[in-house]
Amino acid sequence: MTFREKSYLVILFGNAVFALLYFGSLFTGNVTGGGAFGMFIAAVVVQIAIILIGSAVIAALDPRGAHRPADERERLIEMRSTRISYFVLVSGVLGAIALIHFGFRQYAMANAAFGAVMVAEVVRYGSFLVLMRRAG
Amino acid sequence: MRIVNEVRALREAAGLTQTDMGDRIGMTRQTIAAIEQGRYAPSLEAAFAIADVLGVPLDQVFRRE
Repeated sequence: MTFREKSYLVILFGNAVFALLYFGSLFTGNVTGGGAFGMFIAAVVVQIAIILIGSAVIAALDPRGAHRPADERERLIEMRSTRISYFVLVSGVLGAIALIHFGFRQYAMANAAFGAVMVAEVVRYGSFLVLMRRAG
Repeated sequence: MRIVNEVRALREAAGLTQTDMGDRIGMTRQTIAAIEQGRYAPSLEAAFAIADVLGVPLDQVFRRE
């Protein structure tokens, strides 16, 4: 596994933890209003801590990989995974906008759009990891 | 059109590991392995760099099949 794969795995895990904490609390209805904002800040702090600590650990274990720029195959796969996630992002944001026709308010729309961004990010990093294993 | 290569045989003959070769041309070991297995066709620039590291002309490393 290359340094970039390990790095993306850490980011993917950080994003997944954020999504579970924030959207999980919204869906279960445990927090509302100002509490939701507090949960958002807490989830961001946890996400940043996971990514920072994880990145520092993998860089310490593989310092040469940490200093090496992405090679052409990694850049190509990054472009492919970004293209895949773009369609997810556009579909998700359009879906969030469509919520207005079903009686949802701005708060729900904003969270749906934010959720689309998070899902697109997960798809981006996840597809990079899958393509690195499978494709050329 | 399929591109085949002799990277693995030439690399081993030169006494280089995949990591050594990758370091010399700025690629990961995994990318060198993908090239050797025919899963990835490198750019023209990278193909010339590989041939240079192996000390042979480009057409001895890569060919059409």
